[in-house]
Amino acid sequence: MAFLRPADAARVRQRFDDELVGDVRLLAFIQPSTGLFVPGRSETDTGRQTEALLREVAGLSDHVHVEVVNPREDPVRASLHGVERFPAIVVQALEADTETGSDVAEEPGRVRFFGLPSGYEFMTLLDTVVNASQPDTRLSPSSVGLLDAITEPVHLQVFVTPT
Amino acid sequence: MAMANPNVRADVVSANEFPSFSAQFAVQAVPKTVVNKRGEILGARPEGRFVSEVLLSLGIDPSAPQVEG
Repeated sequence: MAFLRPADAARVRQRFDDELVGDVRLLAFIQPSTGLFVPGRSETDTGRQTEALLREVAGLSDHVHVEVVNPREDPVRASLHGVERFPAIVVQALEADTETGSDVAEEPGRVRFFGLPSGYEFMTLLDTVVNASQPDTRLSPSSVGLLDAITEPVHLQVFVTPT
Repeated sequence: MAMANPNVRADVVSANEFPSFSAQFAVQAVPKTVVNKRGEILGARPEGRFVSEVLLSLGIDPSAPQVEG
């Protein structure tokens, strides 16, 4: 089942064509569904939906790539990205040197989505993909100037609900 | 912000899917932004004001002149 209506998919494709510069990887940590219902744990329910949505998005531009990781099979990589809840998506700008296939150390992702990015969060995901793809930030120069004052690690967690 | 400053990490958390995790941060209304697990910003803001409030929650005065370089 497609998540995006044809008209919406066409709009996203057009935006990607217009705005994407470099390649972006959506690194998804998804636990395979066990078929068991675990009370209080909806993660596995949205895991498959998340993977399907990301693959649909990646199909709209050659600049967008998807890699799905089972955190049980690759706990080291999940740990590198600090991912303990699933599904999780790490948005990574792909540097030129990673495209050569050389074994470049992967840096911990700095923008992560936890849960299925539906509704308004889907727009946030698209914005993040575009931001990661472009060399310059989309923030205003004054915001960038203010952010220069941050010299220690800062962790922002934005809690949202789909609308 | 995470794209503009490598010291910044940003997560978007679907509160409905992770209710117990959200409860740890007393999320009752969204959007709610938690800064370094302590400071909090309720609701959405224009970009400049949001950046200023993040700085304030870190104890940085956003009205102070920024030193170049």
